[in-house]
Amino acid sequence: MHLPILLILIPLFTVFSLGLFAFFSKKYIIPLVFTSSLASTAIIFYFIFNRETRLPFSYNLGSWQPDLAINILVDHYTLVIFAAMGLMILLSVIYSLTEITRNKAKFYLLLNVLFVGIAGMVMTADLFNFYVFFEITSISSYALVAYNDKDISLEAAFKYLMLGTVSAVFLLLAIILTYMATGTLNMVLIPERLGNLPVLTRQILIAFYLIGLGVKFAIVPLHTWLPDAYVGVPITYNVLSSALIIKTQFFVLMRILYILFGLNFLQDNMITTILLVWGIFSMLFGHAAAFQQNNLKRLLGYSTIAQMGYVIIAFSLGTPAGIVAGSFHMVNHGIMKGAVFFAAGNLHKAAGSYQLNKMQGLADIMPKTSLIFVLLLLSMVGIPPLSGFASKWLILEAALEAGYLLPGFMIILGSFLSLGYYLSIIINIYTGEKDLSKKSSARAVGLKINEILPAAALTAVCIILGLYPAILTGLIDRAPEFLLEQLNYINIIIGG
Amino acid sequence: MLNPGFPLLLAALLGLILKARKIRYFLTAGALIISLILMFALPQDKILTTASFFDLELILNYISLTSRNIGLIFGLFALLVLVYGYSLLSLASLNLLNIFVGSSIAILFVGDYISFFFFWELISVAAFFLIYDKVEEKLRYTAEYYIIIHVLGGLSLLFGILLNYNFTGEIILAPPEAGLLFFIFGIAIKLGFLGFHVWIPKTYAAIPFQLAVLMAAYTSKVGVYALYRIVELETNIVAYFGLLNALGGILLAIFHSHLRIIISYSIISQIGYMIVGIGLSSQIAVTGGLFHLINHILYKGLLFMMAGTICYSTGFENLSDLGNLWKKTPLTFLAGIIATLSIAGFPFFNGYLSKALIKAGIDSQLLYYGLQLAGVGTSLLFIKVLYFAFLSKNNDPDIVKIPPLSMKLGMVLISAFMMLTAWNPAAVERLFQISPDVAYFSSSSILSGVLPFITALLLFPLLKKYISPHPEKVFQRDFFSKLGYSFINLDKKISQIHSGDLIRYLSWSLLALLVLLLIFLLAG
Repeated sequence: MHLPILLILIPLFTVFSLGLFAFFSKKYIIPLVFTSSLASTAIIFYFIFNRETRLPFSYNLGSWQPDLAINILVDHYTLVIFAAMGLMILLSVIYSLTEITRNKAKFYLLLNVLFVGIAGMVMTADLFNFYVFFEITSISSYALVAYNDKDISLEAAFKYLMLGTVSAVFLLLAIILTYMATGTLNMVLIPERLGNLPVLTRQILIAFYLIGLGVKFAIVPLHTWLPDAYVGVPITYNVLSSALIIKTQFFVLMRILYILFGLNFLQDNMITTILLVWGIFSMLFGHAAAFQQNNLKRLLGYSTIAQMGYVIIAFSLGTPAGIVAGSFHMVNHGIMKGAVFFAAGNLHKAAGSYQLNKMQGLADIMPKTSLIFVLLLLSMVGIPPLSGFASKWLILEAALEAGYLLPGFMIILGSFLSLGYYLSIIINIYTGEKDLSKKSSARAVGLKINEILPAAALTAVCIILGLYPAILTGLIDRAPEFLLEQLNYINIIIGG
Repeated sequence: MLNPGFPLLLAALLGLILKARKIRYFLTAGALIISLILMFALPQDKILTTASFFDLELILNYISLTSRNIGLIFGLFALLVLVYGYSLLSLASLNLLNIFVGSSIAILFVGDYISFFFFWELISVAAFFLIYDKVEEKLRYTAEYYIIIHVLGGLSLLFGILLNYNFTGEIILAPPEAGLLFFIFGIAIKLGFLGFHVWIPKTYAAIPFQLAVLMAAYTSKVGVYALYRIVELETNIVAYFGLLNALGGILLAIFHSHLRIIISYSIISQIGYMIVGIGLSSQIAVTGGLFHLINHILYKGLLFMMAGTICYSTGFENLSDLGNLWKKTPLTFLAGIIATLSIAGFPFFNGYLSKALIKAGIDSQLLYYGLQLAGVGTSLLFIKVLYFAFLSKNNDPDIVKIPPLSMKLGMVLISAFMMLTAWNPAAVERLFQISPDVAYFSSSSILSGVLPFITALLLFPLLKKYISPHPEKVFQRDFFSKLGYSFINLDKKISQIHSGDLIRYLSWSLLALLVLLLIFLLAG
């Protein structure tokens, strides 16, 4: 059973067949894309449900010798991204069915290239392939940002491209330096050989990795592409970016830091402290900037930046509880933000704009979607019994347990700030016209089932996770074993 | 077994389907009655229902004597509001009332901090939507203000809960061993402690009066209940803070002339009485404080009903527009007199017994005379209200709308209920299961009860011209909103630095790298 490889191969073959189908018969595009995402989702759920017997899993592609090996690796930490992929890939494809009306082949081609990149980045165990998949993800992202062909999306895509490329140079530099120092790119062999390097060299390596990947998961001040990019793209990309892409990039950074350098090194040389402070700064900055936005998508973009701050804080605690809390929030925020974007896309259908002041009165036109929206925003603030509260509880508990009182307090402060701008969304949506004769520009629209389903499903997940958060923690509670302890990770390949 | 608050919450769910107003009305009434029955029928001091959150055990149903008593009055008062608001409560507000009252009752019967926090926040969210109005901008602003300050309190409470959990490993609702300051801050906002009280007059003066009647009874009382359950100190310091509140509330109220602003500020003062009672160590005083809470809900409800009826029938709410109403609205006048004598703690009226109990438990002269002074102030305040609204000949507003029977019936019922409790100290002692050696109707007690009112009556002619009514605006920017606005102004800078210039953005990334490298170089 070499199922994980299929996660890369299925979208890859979809990409090639899409080119053919687009040439011969366009009506098979949708069934093809749908089937392939269904198959990927099925594989992911197979691993989620059989995690006790199937994981950890490793496979040496082509049976190369260790120094050059191409390894595919799935462990319990990978399940964090698998959980997000399992929900988001299928739902975003479902939502896109009606959203994408022109150039379908191009869009789905790019989307599947993106899926290839994400699956590869998550599962690869050597830095060379990691960099390949990293660039696949990045380039398809740039192209997807530009997909709408509007001025704003083209400009955003150009900025994203420039920032992304410059940072990718540093990432490549870090990888090259690692190779020169250790003579291998196999993540299993590097830790031992890297240990002999001087501390400063290792710190500089970390700095390059951080900047290289930091742009992609939008840590302030490397976040600047994100709000611009979010404005002019299809909702499908918004969802995937928030819920999957930036999470994957951060996921990989954490794997690189914790596996290659080791927890002790990170803690002894201020790396975790720097990340912690940086995370707090990023969170507060994101919240404060979101406060000022009057475009819903841009606001949600900043809120994503802020929410990533929570994840960064949790991961940089360096304790098992912190890893579990951060992983929980990664998945949970993906669910909430995904649902918010889906619902926002539906609201946009009636309002015709993402400007908050043009969304006034939508509650009368779309009462159910508005109610879902309110629920989700309350969940983001962390009001129980919604899943946002479970995240916040876990992160705060982990922070306090590790003795970080001030960061804990900052998280509380951040939640308070976030309430301010979420309220302004709610208030705008729930504002009616005093004068009934003055018709608002919004009009009633019928939503199709594939537009309602993703938002409704994710909201249901959000409520269920709020009541029974143990469902998700049960999935990820072994993640710290494979992240904090290098040996466990190394043994998957060498010992297995 | 069902937590007594849950029937209402279930009714709220049912209400989503049932869209007829009458049906929703009787659904709420039915749920309230079931809830009251549950409070009596379920066994006390036993963990009845549990749930789990991660590996923590939540206690969803635990009925203690105190929580039952407060729950009783919460439920009863909601029924009275239903009577009073029969023709006033809208379809949407009926369902929100279910959630609001339901969570206020449910919070009394939970035994752990997580469910406590859950209902604490649910009250705020329900109140937000109760206040909220799609059309009225002022109400939107009020609702926003309300939820922001309450969530601030809630988050502070959450941080306290977490600190305590981290320290003890327990989430049982008991006086915390760590993070007490955060608990106190959260509670202080909820119960409207002086300095954090601003939301009380702001909210209750702005919202429709039938909602003011309803909401005034719950939010701050939940805060008092939390104070009783959570804050336990060695010293009597809390009682002195309570006295501060009792006197401060009066000082704030006395110069206002908008009816509901006056009543709102007097809530703050009355909360002070409860804090004094709860903050003292003697059992009698604590019982007195809790009993005062019950009485307070009744007479404050009556006062709001009176203000509402005046507002409904004349269209005015400022004392400077009112006057000479006693002949036109005799029943409302009578309600006003009963409420005034009750809040003043006049013998044989509603507030008397609880004040007597608190006084009996006081062991310091300062507190005793302080409370007497607050009593003088309270009496003066409502003599002012009665005089300028009903007796003074300055104005003579017309009756524009005749209040419906249901409003009158509400006032009559609540007055009757108040008189019943006032004459029956034995029933009260049975309710609280105490037998204090307090002679309620001895001459010295009666004198101590009469004295503040008589003093106020004598002082009123002298002070009349200083506290005479004047027109005033309900909406004023206070300290907290100014703080908010200055934050927003400061925050604009963050938007401004995002100029969209790619070179700037690129240099930020490089700067970040540079800073990182510098840190490593210098620190290493």
